[in-house]
Amino acid sequence: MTFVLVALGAGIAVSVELIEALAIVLAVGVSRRWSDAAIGAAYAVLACTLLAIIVGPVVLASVPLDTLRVMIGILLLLFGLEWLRKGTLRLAGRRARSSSLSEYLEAQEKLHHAPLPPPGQADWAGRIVAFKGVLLEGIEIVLIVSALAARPSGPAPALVGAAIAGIAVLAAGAWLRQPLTRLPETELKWGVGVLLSAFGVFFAAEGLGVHWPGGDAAILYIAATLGAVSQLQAHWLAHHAQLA
Amino acid sequence: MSTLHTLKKLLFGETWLLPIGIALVTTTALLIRPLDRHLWTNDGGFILLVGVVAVLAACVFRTARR
Repeated sequence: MTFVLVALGAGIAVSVELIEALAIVLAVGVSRRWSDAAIGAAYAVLACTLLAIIVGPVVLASVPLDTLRVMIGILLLLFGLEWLRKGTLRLAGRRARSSSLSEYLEAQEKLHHAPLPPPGQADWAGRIVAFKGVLLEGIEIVLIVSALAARPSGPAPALVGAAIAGIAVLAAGAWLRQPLTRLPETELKWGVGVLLSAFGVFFAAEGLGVHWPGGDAAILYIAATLGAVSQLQAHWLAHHAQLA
Repeated sequence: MSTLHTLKKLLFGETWLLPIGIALVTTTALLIRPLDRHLWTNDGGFILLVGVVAVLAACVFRTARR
């Protein structure tokens, strides 16, 4: 069961981040040149691969197991609670809903004023926008997948989830050549926030010597508690906004 | 500068309350743990969960007011 939950958490987190990165690369490709968009994205993927090599095997393997669990727990809590906070505010109508389309339009707007160089010359503006977009989303992917992959039972579930998500999003992007506008991104991000926060509490507690009742199944009731609290807050905030 | 700012936001989020809250919860857990090892082993997870829920609630309410 933990295998499925970790794969699911990694898969959805990677999908959401990749969709945002893809939206920026597609914006550069459509409004400028596909070759420059691909080159910018490829350099960012290379930088993220180097980061994954450093964060993954080198740093994580040299830290004692319990300390590592606490570190992973805190890292997942930092990401998860931030996603959950934003998700709660979005569900309550206190923040704009998440949309890769807006990232797409924002990237096109950034390039609007930069003149396109003649064919044969590098389009540095396009390459930099694609590079920066992929790099920032990629760093988040590397940190989340590395944290989930550093579990004592091995990296397989996180890597399987991330790989499936990567293939699915890239295939959809190549096929549609436009941002995936029909996806409920706000709800997906909220779900990732709940899962990452639940894993964060679970690992941090295990690293501090806690024995969870029910073993790995504890992730389910931790996630249910966090999800319920977030939904209650979202409803309360939405209700009070209507009254105001 | 904007890239550094984005990286800071990426790691610590948009509000300092969240990393400070997580640091407080973790420090409190480390202080409580040696007081009663048996209690901590069995119920420490729930204590941590309550702390995390409180951090989430505080961060949501604080940023909803802005």
